[in-house]
Amino acid sequence: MIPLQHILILAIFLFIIGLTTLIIRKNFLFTLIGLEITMISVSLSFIIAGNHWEQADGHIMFIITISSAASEIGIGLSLLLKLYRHYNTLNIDSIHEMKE
Amino acid sequence: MKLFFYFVCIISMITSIVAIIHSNPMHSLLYLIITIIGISIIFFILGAEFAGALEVIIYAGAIMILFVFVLMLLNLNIEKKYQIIKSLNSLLFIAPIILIVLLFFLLMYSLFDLNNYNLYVNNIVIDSKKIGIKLFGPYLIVVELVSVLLLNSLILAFHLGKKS
Repeated sequence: MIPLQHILILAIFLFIIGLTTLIIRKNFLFTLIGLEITMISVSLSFIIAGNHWEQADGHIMFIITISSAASEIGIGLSLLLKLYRHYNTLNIDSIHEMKE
Repeated sequence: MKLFFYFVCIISMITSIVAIIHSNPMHSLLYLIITIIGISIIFFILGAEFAGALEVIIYAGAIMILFVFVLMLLNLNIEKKYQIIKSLNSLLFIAPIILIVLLFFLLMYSLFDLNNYNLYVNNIVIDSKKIGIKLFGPYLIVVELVSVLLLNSLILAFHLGKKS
């Protein structure tokens, strides 16, 4: 029998990893990867909750999460292409216009 | 089954760490695909077969391939190794990282309270029939809202992608 806490520890670990990526990486592609890892951890915790209460409602939330992640990634990648066309780089700090 | 579960857990933890500190974006995406497949194996162990199949089809099959195609449109020069560690030295990063570590220990502390209740994973299978009855019965409005969301993102991506 697998205790429920051990899967929740995995979900929390993935969430923290995704949050750390948003801070330490300056590449826009890695920012999107970090958001993706965060979404995966959230969907994992929804499935765990649905398993614990033996209801299908967690799976409904999983479907909502997965489709919102897909739409978010579509918009994010088109913004990435826009950034690359304008500045020819993926560094987020290049969009600073308040500097100087 | 229990040993296999912990094996998959450790593999997905390690590959997620490697994915965010790797300097080559393409290798990083491949490591992320391994993480996603590990998570879907955990779904299959839990008995959520529909969710596991959906995870592989949508995340690994659609979103990651989208990433790879966009990466092929750009010609990136690979960052030098250890550039991440160099950028960590600045004082700006120390406060957020301390806050993140604090958040991690706070969440862990809230889990230790669950130890008294002896919660275990149930051996039930939630198949696609149950989900379909729920999804097209009481949650019908959710399907409509999700379709509107996807249409919105399609229009926005089309608008951002065209050359001005």
